[in-house]
Amino acid sequence: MNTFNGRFYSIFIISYYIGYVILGIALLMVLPILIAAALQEWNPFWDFVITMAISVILGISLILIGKETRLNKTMVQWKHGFVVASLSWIILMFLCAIPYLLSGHVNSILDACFDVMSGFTTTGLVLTQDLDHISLSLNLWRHMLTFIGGQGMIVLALTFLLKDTGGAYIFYVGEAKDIDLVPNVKGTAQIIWKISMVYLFIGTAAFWFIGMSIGLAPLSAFFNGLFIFASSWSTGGFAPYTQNMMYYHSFSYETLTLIFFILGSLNFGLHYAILSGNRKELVKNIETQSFFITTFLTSAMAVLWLSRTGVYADAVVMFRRVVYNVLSAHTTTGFGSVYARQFALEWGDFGILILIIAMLIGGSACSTAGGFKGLRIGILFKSILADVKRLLSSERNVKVFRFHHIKDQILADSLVKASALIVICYLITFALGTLIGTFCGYPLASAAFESASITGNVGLSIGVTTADMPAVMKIYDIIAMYLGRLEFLSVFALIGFIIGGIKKCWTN
Amino acid sequence: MYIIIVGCGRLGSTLAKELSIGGHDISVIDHDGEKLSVLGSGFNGSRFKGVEYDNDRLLKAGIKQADYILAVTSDDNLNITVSLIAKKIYNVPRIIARVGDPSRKYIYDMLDIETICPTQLGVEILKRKISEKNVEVLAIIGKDTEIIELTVKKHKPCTVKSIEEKYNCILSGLMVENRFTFPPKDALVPYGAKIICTILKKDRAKLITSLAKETVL
Repeated sequence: MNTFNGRFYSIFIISYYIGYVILGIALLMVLPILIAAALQEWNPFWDFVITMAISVILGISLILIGKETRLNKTMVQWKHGFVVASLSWIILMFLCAIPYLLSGHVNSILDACFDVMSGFTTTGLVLTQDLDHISLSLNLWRHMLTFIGGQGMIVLALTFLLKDTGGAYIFYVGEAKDIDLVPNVKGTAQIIWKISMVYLFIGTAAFWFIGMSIGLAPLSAFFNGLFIFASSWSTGGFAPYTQNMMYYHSFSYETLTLIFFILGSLNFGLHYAILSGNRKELVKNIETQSFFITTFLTSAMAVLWLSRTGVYADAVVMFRRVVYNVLSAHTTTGFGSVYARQFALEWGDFGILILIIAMLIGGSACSTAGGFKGLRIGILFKSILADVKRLLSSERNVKVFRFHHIKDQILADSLVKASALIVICYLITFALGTLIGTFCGYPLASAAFESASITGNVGLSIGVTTADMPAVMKIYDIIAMYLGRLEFLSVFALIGFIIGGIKKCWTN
Repeated sequence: MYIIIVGCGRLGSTLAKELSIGGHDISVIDHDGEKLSVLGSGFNGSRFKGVEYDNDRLLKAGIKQADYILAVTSDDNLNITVSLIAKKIYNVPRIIARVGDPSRKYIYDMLDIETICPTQLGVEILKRKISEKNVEVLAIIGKDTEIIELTVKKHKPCTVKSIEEKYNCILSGLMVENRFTFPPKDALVPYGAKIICTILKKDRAKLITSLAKETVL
């Protein structure tokens, strides 16, 4: 009987906090509603009002179901935190898909969910039809989703809504963030938002300015700037038009996105350290070192290969088409400056392989980027070096290996193990995706490219992801994006929790 | 509020947990890793293992931006050292130290460090529980004033005003059958009621003997 009560208690706790997260996102819908009203886009206006009403009702009822939690001040355990993080992402996927569905720009619920998940996880693959004629408010919504998803929904809810911070740390870790800027996670969440907001203002202004100088009308330049900034800072890769980066046809615009998505792919801890005056961190940090080395190697190899094949003529074109795409892949952004099929037809197998590797490695931990993350690559590489050194030195020689990430840390076995496990999980997800892709009849290189793009939350496409790809691939892609963004553990916790619950009900 | 807690024993860890739930920034320092693990893996704050008065450790824990330092180890020497570092070098706005051995309190006083002494507090409470039935001291103000809660065991009811005048005290609360009221001057204080009053120490004994002692009719 005791355990029975316990089970339901967990459900109350989970429902209470998920309610808050949903409420947080619901309140954000005010923004597209206001824009729609201002621009007199009445159809999307009602779409958003309906969605907001549904979300608010759901959020408040979930909070009411779990209101005992507040009265009793219960301790939040790890499982609760993980389940709240992973489950709220799923529920929000469905809720946020409603405006897409009502707009009539998607073919099915599945496509709408795919697009939302692609936004949340800062992937940037698109199934929405006729992007060029979509309403401005829905476009704003798409880019808001990437921006919020990049920093994290829980982080958002922690910043503005939750008053008591009993389980805050647990929720925060549940959403695959692990940097402590100040001791209290609530403070850390606020700093993450502050950093993002500061960049939002600077970035939007810069894009606005350049947008006007390349010939966009002021209002359009503003919205384009906002969208492109949101997308590059959160390494998302959405763009307001189907042609993605090529729509702008501007070297300066591309360079600016390049700067912002590289900034976005850096760790928030690093931003904070540099903003608070600790400049050395940029050079000493294991993550920037690993990021610099891997980006340099992948770009150099891609350039080398493509100059051999002679697809692109001169250095500027090489930079705009090759280096840009490799960096976009490496930071898991997914802005493309070539058409999707050009990868398959012009880049050749080696080029595709380099991009796959870049996409899988990804940006920094605790940033908006995806992939294995530079931190893990750095740790694994250092641990291999350490093992070799240990082999070569005498057995009596006790050595401690360190690495520098915000502070000096000891390279403990448990840390290496955790990193290796996550990397293996990514590789399995990638392999499974490739397997499904090839089973559905796509060539190996294309399937692998798309699978890497999905697993690493990148969003470059080689032309596989279209509205008429098989439903099984769409579903797998949604799952893979979700797994890749939350870094597996929370999702596994959710699955374990559900199975445990079903088992309990079965035995009773 | 940014609070550094030095020492993670029973007092320190409970304090850290409750303050972090209250939304403060908490750093905990202790040299014993096992004690730090008492905080649990979901502790919403940072913890530092190392010698408590080590300068680097204190810097990492954020002594420069701290609003409070609470030195609550059971070791007086440690508490004094940490408090002095915080006071003289880093000018932390407020420092509160725990006095482990009450007989050493004078050292803290000489160094002008604010203290609490859980041992002394416990002793006081227990002593009163034994010596004075029906009376609880709620707070001590200054040297010779106290706020006490007293259960009236006098059968003949008297008014609030008469008590205030007779014993030179201020009645700020009246509890009859667990219902709290702010008493008007002419209210009657019945048998079994609890009164909360601010009183000078020298008048306390008189009040207790006449009101709280069970009188035989």
